[in-house]
Amino acid sequence: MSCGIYIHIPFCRGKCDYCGFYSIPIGGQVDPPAVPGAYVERLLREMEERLSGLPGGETADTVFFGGGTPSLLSPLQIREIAAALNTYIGIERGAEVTLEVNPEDVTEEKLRGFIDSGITRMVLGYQTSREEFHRAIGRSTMRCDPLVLEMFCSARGFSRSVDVMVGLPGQGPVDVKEELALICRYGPEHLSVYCLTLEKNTRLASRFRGGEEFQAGQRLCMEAAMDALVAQGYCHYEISNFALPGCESRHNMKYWTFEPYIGLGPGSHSFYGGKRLSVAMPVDQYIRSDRVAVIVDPRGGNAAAVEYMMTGLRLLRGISATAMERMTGERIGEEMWRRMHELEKEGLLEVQRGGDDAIIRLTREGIFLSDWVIYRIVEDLI
Amino acid sequence: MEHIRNFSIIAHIDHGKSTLADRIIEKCRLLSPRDHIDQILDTMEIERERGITIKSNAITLDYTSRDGEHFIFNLIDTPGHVDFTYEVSRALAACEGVLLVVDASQGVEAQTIANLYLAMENNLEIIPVINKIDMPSADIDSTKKSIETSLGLDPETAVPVSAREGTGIDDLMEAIIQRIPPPRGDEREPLKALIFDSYFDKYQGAIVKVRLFEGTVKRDDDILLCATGKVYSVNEVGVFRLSLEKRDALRPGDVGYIIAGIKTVMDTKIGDTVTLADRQTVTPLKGFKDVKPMVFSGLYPVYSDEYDNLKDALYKLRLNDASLLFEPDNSFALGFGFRCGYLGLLHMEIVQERLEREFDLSLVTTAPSVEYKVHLNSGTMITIDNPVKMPDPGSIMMIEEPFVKADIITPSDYMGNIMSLVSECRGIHRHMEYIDTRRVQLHYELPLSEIVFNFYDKLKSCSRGYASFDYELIDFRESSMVKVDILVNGEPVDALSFIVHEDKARLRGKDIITRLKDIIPQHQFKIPLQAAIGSQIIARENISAHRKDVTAKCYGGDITRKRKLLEKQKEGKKRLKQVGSVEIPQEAFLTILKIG
Repeated sequence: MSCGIYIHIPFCRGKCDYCGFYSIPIGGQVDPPAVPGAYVERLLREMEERLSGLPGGETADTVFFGGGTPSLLSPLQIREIAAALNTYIGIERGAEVTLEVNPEDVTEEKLRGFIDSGITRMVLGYQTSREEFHRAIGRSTMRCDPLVLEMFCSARGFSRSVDVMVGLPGQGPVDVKEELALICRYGPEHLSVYCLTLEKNTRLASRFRGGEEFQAGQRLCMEAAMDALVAQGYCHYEISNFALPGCESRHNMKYWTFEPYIGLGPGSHSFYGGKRLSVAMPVDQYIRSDRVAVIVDPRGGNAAAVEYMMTGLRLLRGISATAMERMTGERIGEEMWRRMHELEKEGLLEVQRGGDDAIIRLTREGIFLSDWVIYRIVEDLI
Repeated sequence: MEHIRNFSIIAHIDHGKSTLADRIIEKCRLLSPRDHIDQILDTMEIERERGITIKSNAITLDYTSRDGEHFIFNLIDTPGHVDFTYEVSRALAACEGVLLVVDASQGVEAQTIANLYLAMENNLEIIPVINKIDMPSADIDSTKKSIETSLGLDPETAVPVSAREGTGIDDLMEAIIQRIPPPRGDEREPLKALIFDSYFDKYQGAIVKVRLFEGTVKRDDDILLCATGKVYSVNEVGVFRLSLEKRDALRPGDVGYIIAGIKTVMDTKIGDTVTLADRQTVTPLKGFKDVKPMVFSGLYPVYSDEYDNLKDALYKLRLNDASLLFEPDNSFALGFGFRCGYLGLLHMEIVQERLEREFDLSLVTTAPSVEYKVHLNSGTMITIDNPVKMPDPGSIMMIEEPFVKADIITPSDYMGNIMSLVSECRGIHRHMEYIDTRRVQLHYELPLSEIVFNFYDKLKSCSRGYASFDYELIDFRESSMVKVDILVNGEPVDALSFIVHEDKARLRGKDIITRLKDIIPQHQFKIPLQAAIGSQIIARENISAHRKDVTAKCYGGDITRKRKLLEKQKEGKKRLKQVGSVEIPQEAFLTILKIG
């Protein structure tokens, strides 16, 4: 059986004002900034600890380097990690090996090095190329100007995805269309479009409150993005993800379809053997530790059904009632059908019945209110 | 009896009453220094934490004077706050003298004067004590001057001390012996004792704190409580040391306790006279009255399944607090709860805090209200303390509201601010006088309803915390009061209704719906918010429809976090009250408390 591997690199050059994730800024400490060798060494030991002799005898068909800023890894470090993965679990031929790349790290030399180390797919942390929006969200990295985008997209030898953030303070739908038109000129295989979230306890949230009007503007930006990308031939396959046919992110699909994945590094998450696990340790403690502390999420009886709805409905193709029963062992009960019927009447959900099965998916309006729709479906189970 | 001294300490808040009491207790060697506890007379957690005294307490101490003579000191600690004026007056009635503490850096404050009047009404010997003389900001001369001008006392009789450092305490002890008269009374007369407080013990029932004036009381006596007319057989008498200390009998001049199988403190009314059933006193003590609540509010459990717990908790609190009144109430928006009556705002705050802290309840409180006398066209008069119960405006001929006499002491620099605050609050200026070179005392008449809306906080903020304030109820006066309803999506929310003066209705209504707009979350539809008097809309706002959720990343496959967010959302939803098709957070009901 196949399994996804997630490698967490919790280091950044600096902290972006909107970011609510745990990461360690290393910008000022070493020049050029790099992932500490001791961290990579510990990762290798964690692989030995946790991946050798998995009960299911899995091999990895996807590997995802996420962060933080995983492009702080040198090509050599990536090669070491890949080699260790091959030793302890085995990377399948044709596996998707993704690396998130910051604009600073987009140089011909580095891209070449990443490809030579086995990376097959790169995600560019583009966010916005406009100076005023870049500044408004307080991004600590360099702004991704069109030249960087061009260099990233015209390189060969890997599959390309671009992360775009919309709904920024001061941004309107016209700005979004311009940015996307620029990106689409280079034809990346995949785009992720996220709406800016004002996370509590971030510098951005402390200086910018948002409010009703801002949220209404964010929705217009998201709508503009959806229309623009679909018009360019991208398939809107997940709430925030767009791909040319056949180019969906195989690794991320595992999150949404209940497939197993194992996360390595402090702050990483796994779904394996029907259990949700996490490594909850501060980085310095992790580096010094002899054994990794893996925490099992003590999920209640309905958790699987809740999670299936929560993740599955993010895919625009929706979920099937029989598939849910097969994957979670839970049937959709009478109360849940009643709730879904209500949402159907409100135009937020589409339920297509045929034979013994039913397909349930979000409508266009439902996409914008997905958290609310999902909450209402599963409210009884939580 | 010649060697008994009964006295109390009165002071403005923070002038050092509890510290002084601790020093006096120390001098009497009740405790070894090793066992020292701060604020020894404040036994409740809330008293220690907030540094205030809520209940009257007493302690019997042994003191040997400089001449080697042995004395018994009965120190009676009183609550300092205006809400408890009646309790203070009864505790003082149990004394022959009082230590009036004035902070050397703050001077005389409004509460000091109010307490002085109480002491004078009880004909007590007053020893002024100037405290905190060790502070760099201490100004003893100016404090003496204000003792003379505003208290009318001879400043040369004042004893300077530092309770914190213990200086001057020996002189004070001698002054107590020399200046406070010993009690008088005849052991052969029928029993006459004053109840100045009581508390509930789950094994012994009500434990009555008394001061004997005439006669004796001992085990197996049948006592009669004059106000209730009930008779009980005495199980035990004694005095208050660190714990209860049993005695054969209590005699005139003694301060102590009586245990007589009394089931509830409701039967032991403060100020009542205790006498013998078969040999009654012909002259019960004067000054007894039934205390009435002045401030009212609704109390509702956040979770409706906590109603029974709230009920139990209120009954338990009342075991020790006979002035707390409550009756079941039912709100459309908040469900089942209680309408409660309190002696004042501090009392209200304390009750709520104790319910939340000692009984672990989550509560929603409605805006505090006063009692109105509503005269109907039909010629009948009803009293209303709950806005929900206010009759239709068409049937009302006239409304009267309670007025208080308020005394404010402030540095003259803030006089302008305070005058404009009071006039905003519909206050009537009576007169003012300088109490020393830089401070004035202002006398006002004010509607009580204005005071319950954050008056104290505003007074403090417009005087940088320097002004002090004291009030007492005087009478009811005709006012143009109206009831304002708040409508959410066209539905009146009963728990948000309030009674206000006509001239302020529009402003306060607008203020409330503006706040509600920030608190009520967006729904899938537009929600109009309105404030109305009867059918007339006086303010409006809209909450626009919610049309976008965040579409954040499911980062690194962290599904657990996402699921926990859903669980949290559900937990939060339990705290929402459904009104029609709109869900209102509990917080909304609190905003109305913060208005003004």
